[in-house]
Amino acid sequence: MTYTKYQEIVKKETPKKKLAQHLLFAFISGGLIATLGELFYNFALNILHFPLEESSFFAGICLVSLASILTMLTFHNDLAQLCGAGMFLPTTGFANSLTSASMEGRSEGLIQGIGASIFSLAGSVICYGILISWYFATIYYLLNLWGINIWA
Amino acid sequence: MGINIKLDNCYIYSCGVVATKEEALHLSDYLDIVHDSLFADGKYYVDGEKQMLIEAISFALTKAQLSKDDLDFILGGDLSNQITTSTEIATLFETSYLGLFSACATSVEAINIASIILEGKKAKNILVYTSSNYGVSERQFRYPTTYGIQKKQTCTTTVNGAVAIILSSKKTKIKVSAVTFGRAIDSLSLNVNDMGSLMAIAAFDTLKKHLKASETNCKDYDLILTGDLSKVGISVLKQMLKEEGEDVDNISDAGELIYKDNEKKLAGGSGPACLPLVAFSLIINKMESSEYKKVLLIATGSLHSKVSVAQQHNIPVIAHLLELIKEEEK
Repeated sequence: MTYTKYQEIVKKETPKKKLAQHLLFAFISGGLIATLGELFYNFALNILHFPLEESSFFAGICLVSLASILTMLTFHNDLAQLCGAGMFLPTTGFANSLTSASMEGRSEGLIQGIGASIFSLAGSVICYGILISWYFATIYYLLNLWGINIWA
Repeated sequence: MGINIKLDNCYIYSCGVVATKEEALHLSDYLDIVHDSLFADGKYYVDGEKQMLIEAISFALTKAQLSKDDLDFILGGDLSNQITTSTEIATLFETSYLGLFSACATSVEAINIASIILEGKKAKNILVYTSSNYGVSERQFRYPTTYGIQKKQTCTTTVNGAVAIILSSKKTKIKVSAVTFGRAIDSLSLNVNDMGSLMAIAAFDTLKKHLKASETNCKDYDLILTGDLSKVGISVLKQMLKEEGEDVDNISDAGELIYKDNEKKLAGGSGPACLPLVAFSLIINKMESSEYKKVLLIATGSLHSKVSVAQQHNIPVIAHLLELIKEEEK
């Protein structure tokens, strides 16, 4: 049995990816989450009479809390298995990564457990988020020095 | 090359099998205790694993009517870091202990070593145990259990359970008649999402070695049970054997069997307890009732860690084999 022959067999026996189903579920679930966010936003804006900017913060906070509660109740991972990128990409995925990582560290206590592991998955997002924002701030600063104002 | 050893002095004396209700779907009649959740009565995953292990051991001892002091040797292993679960359980005994790690192949590795010790007449009763827990191993090898990532259809799910077996030189119905140790093989792959088809290489290698050494064919056995190749891996193995002209009708996989019709478990079960959960409940019962007379157990393991894969090191795979025969009553 040669390795190429083996690879051929594996290729043949591996189940096909259900791409169409995944795309559809991600599209629908992502859309639903966005709609939910929009509802929270309008609720804050029109009923609670928050200012425009604070209303979008409110929507974000609501989605994050909801995702964390779902994670805590262990529903989030089942939903995510079905919805894929639809639940992973919005801010709900970020909230889930923080909550799930800290839940995992619960057994080691507050410092070495929850505190140390909370950013174990989301750490990359935060680290490179800060790095990228620093790069763009530098570019923005240099452009301003040369007298170019991109907002004008 | 590798070692294939014929044995004449090693018998399965008793076994204790504990799992959760998800595993019990197809095995419920043969399990000693069925828990509702993988936490058992504990607070954390690891508490659940330990509790199940202790229960399995006490069942094995009770069935064998032995006390702790009758054991001459203990061998055990699991999936937690530095096999702490097994070692902590071993502290409850005052007997020599060997901690083993071959990932999901630990169970058969332990039985094989115990059989050789018995064959050398260095001991009378040996306790062998392994356990696995979804929460513990998920943390060790993948993401937090509640992390919302979409798993691939080829992924396996670790089974929750513990198995303790007492091997003895005292004659019983079921005899360990031969063991074959596998070699560690570089799978030339980093695909942790499809360990079944990687481990099929090792299973194929060890099985061929055993068949050659014992001058038999797959047909000569009533059942060849692999450990946790999953739906994908078992079909890869069958295809590989077919290419070599072997008969594959009597080959099945414990991981596929244990979570049959359970879509949530993706490709099937895995973990050190996966093979013994099936083998030492369902299969051993069928052997005792003479439905099966000659059975091969092949436990396959993927010997990687989260770090080694992240460092782009290929996954080594291994498979150990064990031959059980039903002793004819005279």
